[in-house]
Amino acid sequence: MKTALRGFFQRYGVALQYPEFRHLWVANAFAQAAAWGLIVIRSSIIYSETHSSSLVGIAVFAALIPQLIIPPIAGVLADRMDRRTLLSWTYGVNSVQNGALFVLALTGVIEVWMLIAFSVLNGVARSAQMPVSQAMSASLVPREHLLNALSLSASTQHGSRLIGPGIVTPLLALVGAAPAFLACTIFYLIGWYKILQLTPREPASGQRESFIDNFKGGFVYVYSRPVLRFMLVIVFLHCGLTMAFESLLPAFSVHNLGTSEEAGIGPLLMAVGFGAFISSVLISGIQTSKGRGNAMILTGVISGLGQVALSMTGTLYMAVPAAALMGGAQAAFMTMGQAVTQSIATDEFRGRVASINTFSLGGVMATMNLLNGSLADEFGAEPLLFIQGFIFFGAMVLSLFLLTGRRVYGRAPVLEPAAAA
Amino acid sequence: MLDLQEEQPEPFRVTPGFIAFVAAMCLPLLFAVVIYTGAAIVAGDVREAEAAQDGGVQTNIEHVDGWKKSLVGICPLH
Repeated sequence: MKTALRGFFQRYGVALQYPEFRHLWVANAFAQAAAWGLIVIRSSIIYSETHSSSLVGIAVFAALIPQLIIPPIAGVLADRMDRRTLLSWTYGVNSVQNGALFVLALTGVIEVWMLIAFSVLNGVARSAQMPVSQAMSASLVPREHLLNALSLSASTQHGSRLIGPGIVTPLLALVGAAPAFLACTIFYLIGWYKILQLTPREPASGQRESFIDNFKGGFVYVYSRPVLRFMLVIVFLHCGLTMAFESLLPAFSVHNLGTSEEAGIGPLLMAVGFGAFISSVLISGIQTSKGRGNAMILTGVISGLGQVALSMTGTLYMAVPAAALMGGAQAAFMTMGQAVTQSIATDEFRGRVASINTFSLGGVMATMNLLNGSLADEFGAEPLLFIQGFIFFGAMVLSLFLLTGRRVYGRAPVLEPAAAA
Repeated sequence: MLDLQEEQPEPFRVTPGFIAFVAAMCLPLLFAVVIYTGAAIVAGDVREAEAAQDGGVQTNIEHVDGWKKSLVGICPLH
């Protein structure tokens, strides 16, 4: 039994043997649990005070908008500064603002406008954290264990959607908002402590160009490298065509599954999340390059065809497994995509590569969700799910005929290493 | 990770392909920001007009510009 467990951890948790990555992973796990908990507390308080879904929506919007604006800035800073310092600032900001919310709730002076203002601050800190953490992960483990490291990070991201609200919701219901905010504060403080245990490093980029030149340099770097260019485009298509379905779920639930919106959306999203968590754990155990290449092809194809299958279901009992399959494939494909881009990028550019990834994918998902929501009113959800899923399946098939695609999937000769520039 | 060696970078020039690549990466983000921000700004007007209409008061909804209604209509947060 002990041998089996040791074997399991050696395979699925190999990145955790590196102390620096372990600190970062624990910090991210606590931060994400706190972030999800905060979403629950904020929405609950705003709705109970105002009975206004619009104001809840405004609070969501307030936290979302920084995620569309901050990553480009954070990516440049991540390559110009010590990433540990940058991360510790974000954890510090979140710890302090949650502590302030705790005090405000305890003293009974908390108001809706304060929650919205702190949403913005939380959104700014969170959206800086993501690309910086991603860039940092790649420099804390050897390249052959990077997929495992990113898979572990992805599995905590999905798992924290259950753990954070799971801890905060009973506190909120039984004891009130102040203890719930205190729990989030403690999570962020633990994360901050773990970040401060990381070793300070010299900035990845010694160059001191202007911010704009740095930002442009990131695009030039990515575009000049066929594998990076290929990965950003295929993942961009993946996000736009197979991961922007949330706005379609209400119409799909009502018109295709014959349920109410509430009865349909919850189980479908939970199924997607469950599939994502399971697949994140499974791909962390992939060890050979052939296995990784095959997994990328398989998960890409299933992302598209899974959505097609979902569109063709007529009952919730059939839709839930299709959603789980789709969620699992999507999460695995995204994680492997990140691992490829971060393993190819040199440390000097990792922050900018991660930020281009973050803001381009966030932008396309937000835009496609808007478009899908408005098109669904005209055409229905089913044809949109079907067509977009099928287009992405086609894109995956096409990618198998491209030399760069075959290199990424491990089906073409390896190139000679580049001479140092 | 994959057995991908660090690539020899291609020589860089600002080509239509590069411009299209940058536009594709950046424009959806800008579009989403404009939509969300615009909807946040005009949502109050549209909701007021809708509430007045529901209350049986002589509707103001027709007096709310069409673009405002469309913006709020497509933005899922308002």
